[in-house]
Amino acid sequence: MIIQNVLLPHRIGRYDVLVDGATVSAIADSIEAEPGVRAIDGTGKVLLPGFVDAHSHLDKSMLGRPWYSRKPRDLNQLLADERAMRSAPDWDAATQIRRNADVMIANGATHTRAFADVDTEIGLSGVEGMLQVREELRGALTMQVIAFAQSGVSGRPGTAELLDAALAAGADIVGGMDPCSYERDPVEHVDLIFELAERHGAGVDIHLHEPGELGAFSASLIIERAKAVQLPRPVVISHPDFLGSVAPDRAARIIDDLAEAGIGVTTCVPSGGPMPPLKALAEVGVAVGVGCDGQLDSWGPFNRSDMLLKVYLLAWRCGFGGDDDLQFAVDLATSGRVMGLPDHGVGEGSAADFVLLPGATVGEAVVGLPTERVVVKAGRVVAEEAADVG
Amino acid sequence: MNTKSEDWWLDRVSLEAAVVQRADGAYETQVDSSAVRIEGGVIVDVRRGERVPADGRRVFDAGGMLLMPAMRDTHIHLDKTFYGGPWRAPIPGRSWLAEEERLLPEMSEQIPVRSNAILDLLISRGTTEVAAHCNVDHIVGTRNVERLLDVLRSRADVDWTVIAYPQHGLRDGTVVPLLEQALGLGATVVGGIDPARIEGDVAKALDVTFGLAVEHGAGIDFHLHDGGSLGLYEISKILHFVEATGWQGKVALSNANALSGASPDTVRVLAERLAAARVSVGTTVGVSGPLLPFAALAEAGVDVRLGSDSIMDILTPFGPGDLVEQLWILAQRLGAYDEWGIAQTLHYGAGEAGRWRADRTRAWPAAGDQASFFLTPATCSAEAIARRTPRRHVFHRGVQVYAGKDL
Repeated sequence: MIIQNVLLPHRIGRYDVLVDGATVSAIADSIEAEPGVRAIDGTGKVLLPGFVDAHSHLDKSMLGRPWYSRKPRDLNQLLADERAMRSAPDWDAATQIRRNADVMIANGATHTRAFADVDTEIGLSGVEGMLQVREELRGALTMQVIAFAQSGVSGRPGTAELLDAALAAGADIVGGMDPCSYERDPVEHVDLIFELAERHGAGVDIHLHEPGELGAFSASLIIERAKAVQLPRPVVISHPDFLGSVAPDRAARIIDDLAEAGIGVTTCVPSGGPMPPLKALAEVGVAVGVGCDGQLDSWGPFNRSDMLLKVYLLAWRCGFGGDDDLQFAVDLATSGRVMGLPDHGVGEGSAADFVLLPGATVGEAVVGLPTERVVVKAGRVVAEEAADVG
Repeated sequence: MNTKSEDWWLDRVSLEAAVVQRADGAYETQVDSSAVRIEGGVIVDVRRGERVPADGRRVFDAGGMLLMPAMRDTHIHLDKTFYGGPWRAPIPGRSWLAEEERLLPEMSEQIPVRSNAILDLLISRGTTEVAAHCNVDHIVGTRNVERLLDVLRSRADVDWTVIAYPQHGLRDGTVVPLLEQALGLGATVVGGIDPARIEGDVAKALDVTFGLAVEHGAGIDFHLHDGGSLGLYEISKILHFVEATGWQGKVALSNANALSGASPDTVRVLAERLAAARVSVGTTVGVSGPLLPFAALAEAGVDVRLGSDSIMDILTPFGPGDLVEQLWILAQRLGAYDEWGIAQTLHYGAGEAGRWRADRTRAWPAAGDQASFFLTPATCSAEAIARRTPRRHVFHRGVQVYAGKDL
């Protein structure tokens, strides 16, 4: 495959990008491709690395099912209903995961960190569905599976054993939940998560919705463990919105600690409340990922598995209107660092995982939200049109 | 079926009836598969739960899609945009007023192309009524008003109002003759801008604006960006002028950012005065920035409406030109979650046709309502907003003005 006359991020001018198998073999002003090589015209388009949806909940999606009428929001009720829905005979975990994953791919993601709930009611069905879909989509989507204690560990005896079994079955990462506000015994929870990770050589990803100083305290426990234990995969804090609500000098010290401990963060760009200071995080070298979170699930009907839309919302939310700032937003959303893939990008020798979008600049491709999106995974076109966009 | 200004039937169309709370606590929207008769651009018959009569001719089969009232864009700048032209990102750090002075002449030339492009966009997203703030200033004079009126008068697919907007202030009264000229051309509302920060002499600016409006029988729409106590003072001062001139029901405030940061008590007192003076508030909703106290204003009876404001202008490339997207953002920022919570945002985009009664029933559509609506594959308005379902067929005054692709 050769993509011709295309704009690339952080480069001036237009280039030809030659793909050999699953790898970029050459980038130059003009490349003579051999006859028979598929040529894609990149005129008027930008070629970005495939989006990395660094925080997804594919197992919760109700895509393809009838519209769901919600009760007034109440966390415990919501969790109970969610477990019940997924224990019902008409719920097939792999089917729902696949529906969401197909939308995610069509919209331009080539990689995702996917949470799969593990609890004493649904057991490992979510993880098993995820592993099945990972296999089915091996040629289209790189998936890291997170065995996630969504309903908590301390209040549900047997959950720790299930997480252990999920990691043994092939999950890559163990996922924890608000150590203080949900688990109620933060030290015990963080210790348990790190012990599981250490035992299986897994990564860690902890949902931290806790606001302000409470979130900062939980983060300090995670930082402490991350410094003490050397894990082969990244440690990530999801939703670190507390960094946007504590005093800026305090946030700066925590951000330095995160950098020193090698902890990454992912944001799903909350629709309200504080936003973590993304530029400050990136400046000191913290790996920052962006994710679409859940898509049409118990948690709300608004989200879409569309990383381009997520970048648009991120940029708008942060006041990133100029071309350089829009490029920065795209850099975060295409960064492979939280997945432990530092080389994900468009360069000679990199994997041929791209999304090709109409636009005179990267910024226009974001703001214009085009539905024409050519998605390339491992050198093969896997999608050509966005899905579920209204 | 050709629906060009003919009389016709809409068949198998889903109409919302009520939102009910089920025994398990969930809010669920009840709909009726119905038939609706349109004559001369007006809905003349609504047959809930029925099919078109056997002798009915010229039938449009909605195939079970939901009928949504057309959106009304209450605040938009059609005359200064980069939309429809080459990409142009804002340059950080530049004074936007100075930048506007520099770029206005060029943008003005583009009005025929770009305002048409935005109108096409809006209509494709279900909006068929616009209130367009149009620059009147020392740079373009009334040229923008002339050019925009030419465009609007050439189109039958949208209802419009033009507001003669002194973006750069009255400039010691030198802009006043231009505003009068604009009213003579066809603008029907006099605009105003921050009487304190831009104009300086608050009382004099309000005196001139209200004087012009009363003399010409025009409405008034103030852009109020000033925040905090200054902005609250301006609102209070404007209310005083409304009461003194008897201009109740003819004045609107745009942005009114000061209300966003005010204490609940202050908001309540001002909201009551705004409601009594029938002063409406128009705002755009972004994913960040100040958010009006929607609930408190609505509770006091203030008419609050959404608008696109700018679409790709000097200041920001963001602004979707899609009021359903605005409702999507608003519902999230208000923390709406269940069907009842989301459905209640509808009137901010659709006006009265989108309003729910206190008993959670819906009056719209009824005989006598303007036949401006769109069809979308959704089970209820909450779904249409939350999923931003595609706008498949858009009608304005009984005539189809947009046909989306079938997915």
